[in-house]
Amino acid sequence: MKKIAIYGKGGIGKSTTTSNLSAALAARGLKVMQIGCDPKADSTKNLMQGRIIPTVLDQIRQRDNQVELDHIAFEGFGGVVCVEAGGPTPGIGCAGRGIITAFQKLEELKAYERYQPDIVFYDVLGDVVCGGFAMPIRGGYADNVFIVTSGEMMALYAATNIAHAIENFGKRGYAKYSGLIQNSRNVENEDALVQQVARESGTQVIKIIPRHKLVQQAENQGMTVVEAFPGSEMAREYNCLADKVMKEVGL
Amino acid sequence: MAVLSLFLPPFSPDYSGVSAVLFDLKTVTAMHDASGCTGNYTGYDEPRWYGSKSPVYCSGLREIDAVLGDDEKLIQKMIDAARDIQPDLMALVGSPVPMVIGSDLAGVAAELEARTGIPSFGFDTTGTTYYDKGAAATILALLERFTEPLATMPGSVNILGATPMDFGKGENLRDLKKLLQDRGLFLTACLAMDYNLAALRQSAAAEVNLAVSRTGLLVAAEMEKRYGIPYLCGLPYGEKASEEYFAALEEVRQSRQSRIFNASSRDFCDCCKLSAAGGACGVGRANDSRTAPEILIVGEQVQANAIRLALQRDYGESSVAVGCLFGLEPGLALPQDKDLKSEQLIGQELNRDNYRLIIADPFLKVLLQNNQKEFWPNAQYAVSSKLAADQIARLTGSHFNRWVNLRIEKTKV
Repeated sequence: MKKIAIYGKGGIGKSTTTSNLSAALAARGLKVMQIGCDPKADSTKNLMQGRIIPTVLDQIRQRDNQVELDHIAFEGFGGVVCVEAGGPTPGIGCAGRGIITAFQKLEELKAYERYQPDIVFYDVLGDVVCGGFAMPIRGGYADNVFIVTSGEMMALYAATNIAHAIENFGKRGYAKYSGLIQNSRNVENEDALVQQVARESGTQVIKIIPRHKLVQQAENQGMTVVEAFPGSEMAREYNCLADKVMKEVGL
Repeated sequence: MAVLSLFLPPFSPDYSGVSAVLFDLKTVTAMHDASGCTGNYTGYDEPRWYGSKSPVYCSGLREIDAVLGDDEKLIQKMIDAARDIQPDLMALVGSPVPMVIGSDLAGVAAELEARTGIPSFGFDTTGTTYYDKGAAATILALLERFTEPLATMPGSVNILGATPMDFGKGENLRDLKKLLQDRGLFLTACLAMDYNLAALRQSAAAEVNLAVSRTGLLVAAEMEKRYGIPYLCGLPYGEKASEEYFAALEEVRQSRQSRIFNASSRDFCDCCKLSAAGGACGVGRANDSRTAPEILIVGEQVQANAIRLALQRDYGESSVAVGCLFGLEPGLALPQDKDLKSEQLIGQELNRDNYRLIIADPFLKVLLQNNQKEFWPNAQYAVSSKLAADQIARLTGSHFNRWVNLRIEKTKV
């Protein structure tokens, strides 16, 4: 089992990229689990026909902690096991701590043992703002971290911060920083800007994903591009990304 | 509000269990807290603290440390302490604030070890579970780190799950060791009171593990998987019951099959003795005065079970229930036993009409509304700490009979 964390600035396309990765790998016959680590809880909706699934924290709250795996894990496209950590009501509580609680609940319920995934993706909100959002990088969780970015300044700034957090944890023998995924926004000089940040943080751009209207069209149908337009050029791009991710993590 | 305690103090938490296990080893133990949790452990959960040299520290966590999560500051403090003390190992122990801010104590410990070369551990304790969980996790972490499988030494046993929270200063443990010695058995390690790293390393050579508490049962089950050592879970209380205990121990030695030394449903209900389905009569229906138990033992489950079995074997008392204060382990329970999760539930159970005798920590007496019930105090450090330490009953072997006989005489007077 390989565990992979996908980080990046909010709104940069992490969930779109991760869901397409999951779908591409599931279509190859691999057992994939995708865990959304964002209080918005919409990481997996394009694997679930647009459906927002109940979150771990919602179920803990509603069921007074008497939660079973079937309450929080749902099979989507290609048998991908979809989980959303969820979070507190906006404006109160602690979203970072929520991630920790959700992860602990998954362990307590022996989710990994039951589903035996080949690959687990953690789709993690934005920047590593606190201990909770660093949880997927910690010991026992992700083996590899990829950061999704565009050439926009704030996205690159966030990518640098995340890379810094991973480097900090490096002394503890945690996850390996395995590269940037460029989700293009057609910013001027975008490829060069992203390459420069990669160089400065000692990593590489493993794949440049072009901007394409099919992504939006697929999402409008509640699907990934891989599911909605499997024969498209864009689906091939995601399949190519899947190849590169697999190579990086040694699968 | 159902879990609010109006009369009882909070029972010993997980971080105290961790610290108690580390107490005998040459460890720099730092509780990551503002000082209340450290004070709770050293002041109330650890009878060995006074006059000892065990280096248990408080990290001095303050608001700004919680906000900034400055792990380097904590690491530097530990390195300074290590320079002075030259410990064999170091440990960081969590408390509620690190739990809330998601401190990565295992990660900090890994970094600390990389910089000092001293084996270091991080325990993500939260203060929201009981001592037995913390103690078991710590013993298992130590075994994982220091204990390799060894060839079995015939006649050797480990005592597992010995902590001051269950055994105070350890009088009952000393009596148990004596009984083992009298029967030609020798002790490999007593985890985790009166032991050292050498004993811990040797513990994998034991022929049988003796789990003397729920902590011990959690550890014994794991040691059986890791090292193939079978276990006997229970305690030899009472003359006749002790004979059975040692017969059971011999059986485990021969068969290599683990065993819970406990009463069975059939021991406690006449109709079940006659039926093929033991316990099927519903002896646990406490509201049914015809079948409901008459004696209630409240406390740690393994010890309470041992008292129950001794009352049955040595005194013929066949209507006894156990109330578990720290969680009910299903494998140790009989149908009539209760998981007393809150002060409210403890009070309700103590005051049920069917009970004529209560055996419990003296602090629980305050919850009894009916003074007509007999109450035999048996203090537990996890409940009443040093305030009732003189009422920890000596129960191992025939001491149990002396204790009971004295109580019966007092009642007659």
